[in-house]
Amino acid sequence: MNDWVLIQSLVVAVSTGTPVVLAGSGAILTQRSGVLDLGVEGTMLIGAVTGFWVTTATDSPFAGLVVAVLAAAVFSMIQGVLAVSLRANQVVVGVALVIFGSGLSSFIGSQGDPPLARRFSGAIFTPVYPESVHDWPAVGPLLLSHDPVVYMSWAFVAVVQWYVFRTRTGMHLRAVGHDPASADAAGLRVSGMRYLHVALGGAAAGAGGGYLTLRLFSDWFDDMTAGMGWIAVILVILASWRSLRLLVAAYAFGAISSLGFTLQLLGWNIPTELLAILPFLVVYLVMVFVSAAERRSQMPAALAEPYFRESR
Amino acid sequence: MRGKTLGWLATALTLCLVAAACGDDAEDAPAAEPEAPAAAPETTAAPEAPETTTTAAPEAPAEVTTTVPEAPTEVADTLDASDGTGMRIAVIYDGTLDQGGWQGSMDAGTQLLEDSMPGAEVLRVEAIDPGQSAQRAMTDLAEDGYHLIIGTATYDADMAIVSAEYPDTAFLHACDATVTANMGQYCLAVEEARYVDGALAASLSETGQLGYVAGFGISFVLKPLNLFAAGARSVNPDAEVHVVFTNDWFDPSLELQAANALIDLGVDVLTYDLSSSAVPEVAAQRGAGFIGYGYDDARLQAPDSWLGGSLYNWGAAFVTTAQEVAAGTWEPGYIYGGYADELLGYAEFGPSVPAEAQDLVDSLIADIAAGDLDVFAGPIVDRDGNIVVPEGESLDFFSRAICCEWVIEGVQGEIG
Repeated sequence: MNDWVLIQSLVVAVSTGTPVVLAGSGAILTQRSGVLDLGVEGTMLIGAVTGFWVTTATDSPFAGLVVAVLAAAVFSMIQGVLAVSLRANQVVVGVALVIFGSGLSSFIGSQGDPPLARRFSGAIFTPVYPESVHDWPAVGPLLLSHDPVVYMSWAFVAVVQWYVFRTRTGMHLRAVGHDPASADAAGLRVSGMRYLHVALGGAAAGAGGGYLTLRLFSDWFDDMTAGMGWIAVILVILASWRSLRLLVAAYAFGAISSLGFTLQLLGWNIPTELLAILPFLVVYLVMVFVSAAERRSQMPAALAEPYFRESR
Repeated sequence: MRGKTLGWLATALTLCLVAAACGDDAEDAPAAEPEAPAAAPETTAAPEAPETTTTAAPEAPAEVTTTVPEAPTEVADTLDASDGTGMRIAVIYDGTLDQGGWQGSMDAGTQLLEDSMPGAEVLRVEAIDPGQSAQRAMTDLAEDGYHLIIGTATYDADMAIVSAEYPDTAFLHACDATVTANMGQYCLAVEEARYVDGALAASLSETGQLGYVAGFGISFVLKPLNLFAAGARSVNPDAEVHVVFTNDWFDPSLELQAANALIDLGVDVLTYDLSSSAVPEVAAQRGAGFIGYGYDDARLQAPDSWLGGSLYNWGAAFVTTAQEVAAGTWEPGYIYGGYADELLGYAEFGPSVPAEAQDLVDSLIADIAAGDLDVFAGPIVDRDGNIVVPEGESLDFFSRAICCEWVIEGVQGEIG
């Protein structure tokens, strides 16, 4: 097997991994504040359909992405209100949001004449650097062949990592997610922090969804996330709530399944059913070993627990 | 205390949310407005009643039938077979109709039915899952006096149950097994479609390497795959069809990876046996050709990559059956046909397709329609060297319908 095939697998892994990286990094922010938002899949769909809608109307993928981010942030406020203010069971709310987001996005997609689902957008994100540099050995395809959203996702991952571990607000965020009662006693506004990070997580999921319609498939179709939101949630946990690890896990995930197809085509007699579970298997095992090597759990201690001030 | 109450309230709100999201589909479906204006004045009242009551009161349909003056059997004589006046037809879909793909191709059939029989009332019922909801929908429609109920998805078992209870209503189902006194099947000879598609692909490929993205390696996926390869090798005996299976009917992300892997290995024309936009999108972004299958949604999505592709034309089966039911001559059976019966058509060619390739497609279709070309004519050798159809022989109807457990020469790739 030649290097080129390996590199191509990685390039494809970057583009299919980008929605997962964006949504997952956002979910890290949400979960670090102690709110488990399982609605990522539904929020991504809202971002995907609204972004597509605006782009078909304005011919500007950037405008589409901005609207996708805003619409998804607003949509995630359902989780905010129900989970933070009304203190509902976050798992139930999250699962409900997936179903609601799927239905609502399909409804939006059925509007217009012709309906959005039957339209195609010519305006999509295109690579930032000219074709000529894409062929440079290794760095060309791997680093220079991407569209702006991919570079934005890399920046976002770095910012999340820095924000969570290197800033004062990030420390407050971790405090709110770890021990909200103490954080409250120390003068932090627990509900405010949680609302903010639910919205940020929703916005990032919206960007991930927008990437599906504005680049990856350049088209809207019902339930097009097909489980990406769930994979993002799983990888967040496997990556111990760290965005750099999440990036590696998401790309590894895509590269392994992509490479699987190549090996299948090269005549390696691997059963296709095995190839289908291989990415889960490898990423899961690696992350389990990495986590086991850590001294203590990285999980926000108050994750998924509503905070009742009176019971302090 | 207050927190707990709020929690319950929130959970209740959540449940409402779910109910709203699910209910959207379920209630929309039976309430879908009849597209065609109701023909006979007495029927205009009838469709209104069940729309508001079916979900609420189970006894409503019985009441409704009394407002429909004619029992279906008596009506059979008064229906107008030419323009369908007085006839009521319902078409049931498992998805929504704005998606294109399989459902979209079925809806093109419904459209043809409306155009061919302008006097008939045609009702589209969307987003009905197989099982309980399908049985309920069919029962409501039969009670409501619909003369012909067409199912476009996997409703075979449900339709078998409901059709037995309503012997005076005609039932028609897509591509399955059950045929009874009032239930028939309709299906397409996809082998003819894919043979022509394969020939077009090979005639336009420079490398002779064709890519095929499919869901599962099961018989009704292997049949079109085999015939695509056979068609390709009828043009270029060295052509190879590289197949990858995603092990899913709908996972656009995997389809994207599979299509990219094919192009990385030198494939220059792609096709699929799936319906998401992923494969044509990869063809467009990487400058490969794309051949459609059954529907031509990708022609608009990837205009520069689009080469051509067979079209499903379910409408031919709908119209024939509706006319026969109206005339009272319908004999339920298994409608199975291709180009000869106009159950298959061909999409518009892409701008890059030269005239010779277009002529090749036209002549193949003409030969198949005339019966001069049998795509299953032997000798057919599988890729292990076994003769599966001997020289001078062909497959009988039954073997064609359930084909294939084998994979022919020229197909490369692990069969899942």
